[in-house]
Amino acid sequence: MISVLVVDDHPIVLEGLAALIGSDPQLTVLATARSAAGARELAGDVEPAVAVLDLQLPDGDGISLGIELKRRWPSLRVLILTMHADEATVIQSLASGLDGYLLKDADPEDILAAVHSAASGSLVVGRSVSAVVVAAAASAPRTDALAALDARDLEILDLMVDGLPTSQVAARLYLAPKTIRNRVSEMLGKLGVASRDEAIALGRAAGLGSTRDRRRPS
Amino acid sequence: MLSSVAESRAESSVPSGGVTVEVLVAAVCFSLSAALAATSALTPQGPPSEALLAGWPILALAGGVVLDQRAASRVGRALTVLALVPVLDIAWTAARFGGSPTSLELARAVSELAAVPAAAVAIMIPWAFRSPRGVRRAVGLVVIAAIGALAVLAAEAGFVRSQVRVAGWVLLVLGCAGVWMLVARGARTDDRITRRRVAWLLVTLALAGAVVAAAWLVAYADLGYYVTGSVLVVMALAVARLSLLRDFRPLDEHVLDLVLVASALGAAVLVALLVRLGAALTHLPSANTSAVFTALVTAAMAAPAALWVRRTVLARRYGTGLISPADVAVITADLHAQTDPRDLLDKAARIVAAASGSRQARIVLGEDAPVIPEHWVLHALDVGGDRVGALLVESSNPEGPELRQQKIVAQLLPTVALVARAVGLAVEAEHARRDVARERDAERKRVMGDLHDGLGPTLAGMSMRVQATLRTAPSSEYAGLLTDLAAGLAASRTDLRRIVAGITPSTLDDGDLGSALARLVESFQGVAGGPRVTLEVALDTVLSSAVQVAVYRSVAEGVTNALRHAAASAIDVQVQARCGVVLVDVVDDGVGGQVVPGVGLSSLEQRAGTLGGWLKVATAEPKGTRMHLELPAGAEART
Repeated sequence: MISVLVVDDHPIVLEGLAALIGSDPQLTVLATARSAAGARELAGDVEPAVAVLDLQLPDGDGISLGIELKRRWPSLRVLILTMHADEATVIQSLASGLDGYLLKDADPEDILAAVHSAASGSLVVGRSVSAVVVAAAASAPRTDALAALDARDLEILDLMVDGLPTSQVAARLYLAPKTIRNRVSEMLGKLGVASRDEAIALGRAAGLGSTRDRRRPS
Repeated sequence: MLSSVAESRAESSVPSGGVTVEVLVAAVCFSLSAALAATSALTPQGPPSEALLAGWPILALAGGVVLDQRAASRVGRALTVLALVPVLDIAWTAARFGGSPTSLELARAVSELAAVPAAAVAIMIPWAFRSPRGVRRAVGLVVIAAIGALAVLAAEAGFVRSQVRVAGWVLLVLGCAGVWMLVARGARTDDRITRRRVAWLLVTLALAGAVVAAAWLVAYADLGYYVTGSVLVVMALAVARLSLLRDFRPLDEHVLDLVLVASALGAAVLVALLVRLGAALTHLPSANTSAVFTALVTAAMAAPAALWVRRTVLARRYGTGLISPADVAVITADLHAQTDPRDLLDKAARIVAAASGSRQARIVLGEDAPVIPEHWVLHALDVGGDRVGALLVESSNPEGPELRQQKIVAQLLPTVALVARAVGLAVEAEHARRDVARERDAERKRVMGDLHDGLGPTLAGMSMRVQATLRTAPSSEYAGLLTDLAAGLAASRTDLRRIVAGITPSTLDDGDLGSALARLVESFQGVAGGPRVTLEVALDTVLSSAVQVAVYRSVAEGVTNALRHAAASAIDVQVQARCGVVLVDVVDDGVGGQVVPGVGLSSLEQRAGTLGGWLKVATAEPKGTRMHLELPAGAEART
């Protein structure tokens, strides 16, 4: 019998998952928890073979919980089961030494198969994960950091990310350098950063710059 | 206008342009002494003393130049005052002999008065010497010239032997030449106006000297007197005009005027000489009168021609100052294709530059004053009392625009201000549109996120429970129901995934439409027993992000529709981008028939329209349905 620990904050998923695992004669649900704290509180004498963890828990993330649990039970296999599959998270979880990553909306049979594979020591990556069919909401929106800015600010930040000095930004936008300086200082306030460089770093991280504006080849 | 001129003028190191009282006085002195010299040259009683023609007026000319560069210069004042010696001489002669004096009386009066200019020079030299070192050499040369003049005067009056006269002339000529060389050297300043002014003076003097010399060498003495007198009067007029100009611009017009006057004068002199030579050869009476008359007529006839040449040259150089319908056509030619209204500003600026003969112009939007580069002039653009921007004009001349160019720019300012205002409004509208689009996208993402994060786990959990129940009790009486439920839930999960993926194609964030479409089609492939979906992508044109999104969504919608309604066994997706046009075809071999556009199709049609393309759903041959979309590859969304 393979004992499984299930941690998920979504009650329907938790119940469904527990029922699904319980329906397999070779698997047994050792314990369930709805938070990272709940998982940590498990009595020291239980030792699950596989843990199925949700990525987003109310008091932490599944990856660090998985790392923590593996430290406690070195032979434990950890599967991340989530609605979200952006490449960075998948890579992060696998790089952290976890044993699998699959999506909740995979077929239930696939989930069971994944638990079995993980228990036998294989690395499991769900089919849709390997194809990285990533729904929009599954990856964090990329421009969130710049949500406070309006189109006028973005236009300026875009050119700043391209490395143009204030004078050239002004020339491109047909504005006076003083106007640009005023708007940039307003922009810093909106972004809550102290310097131009920080704003530029935010803009670059959000995908502004170079390729976006082909309108005006210099 | 004037303030803008001042701004540009402030750049040049030597302030000039305005006329100072000193220069005015120098001009008056020159005119007076030259007029008196000319009068005495034309005295009917005979040739006057050469000393009077020897160049006292030239001292005023030199004084004027010096004062123009350094208003309080003592040397300049001294030179100017010395030019008044002929005035004194003539006045003394008139007082002593009464009426119109003869040349002999003039010579006697001059010799009697010789002590006065000598004393004047003696007083002026120490006074002038307190000036900066740079002009001491000039003063020394003036002294040499003055000594020469005094020697000539003394010889004329019979105080010394007549051989001294030649030496006096040599000193006079050397001194004068030296002064003029210094003047020419001093004119090598950064200020182009001063340079031009001095060059103009030198050219005038050289021309006048050449004409006088030619008249004396070629013609007989009496014609020489007439020509000398005329040239002196013309020079007096020219120098007066030069000194009285408020602003010594436009430079090019002055050079042009000079060339035209010189040409007319030269033509008149040439014709007069030919007439006089002809008259002398044929022994006609009153040859001189005929020559003078012919010269006057030639000059008069040359005037209209000169004016015409002047107008033509200036119009070619500075433009007509008007915006022609052809110019407007150039501005508005590709208005509909402009992706950025600010491109209009470049066009308007180019037209201002072309119409005013300026090197280039630039328009800046907003209330803030832009940085003014060197040699650029700023003009504020106001509409209804509100500052909407600024027009910056770079003159072709380092010292700023000509008056004519300033007038033209001033005439165009209201139009340019309106253009700037319109462009400003268009930019604001575009920003507002983008903000709305961004908010809409963010809202849509949020809704999709909620759908995905809220509904997704619920469906997944329910699927697991149903599956678990099915596995633990495979033969219960509800097995059929549970199987149906499991299938329904699986379909719902797939639908949810597609809805979320189709509406917000975040897979496009990295800009690779081909692989995004491949992933999309792959997600459709997973349905057991579903149709075979094939994808063919040929992109050899760069697509704008708006077009990429539209293509992605239409493929998602087309395939989803085919899966839902067509009962097809194969769905073919073709995406081609060639020669700036994107073609998308989604063809199924299903039941076909009339397609009633739902929300999805309608919004796609609308989106295609805003991108300048179209979408059509029609029956395919031999059976099935074809969705066809055409878009310009580089289109940006417009609302």
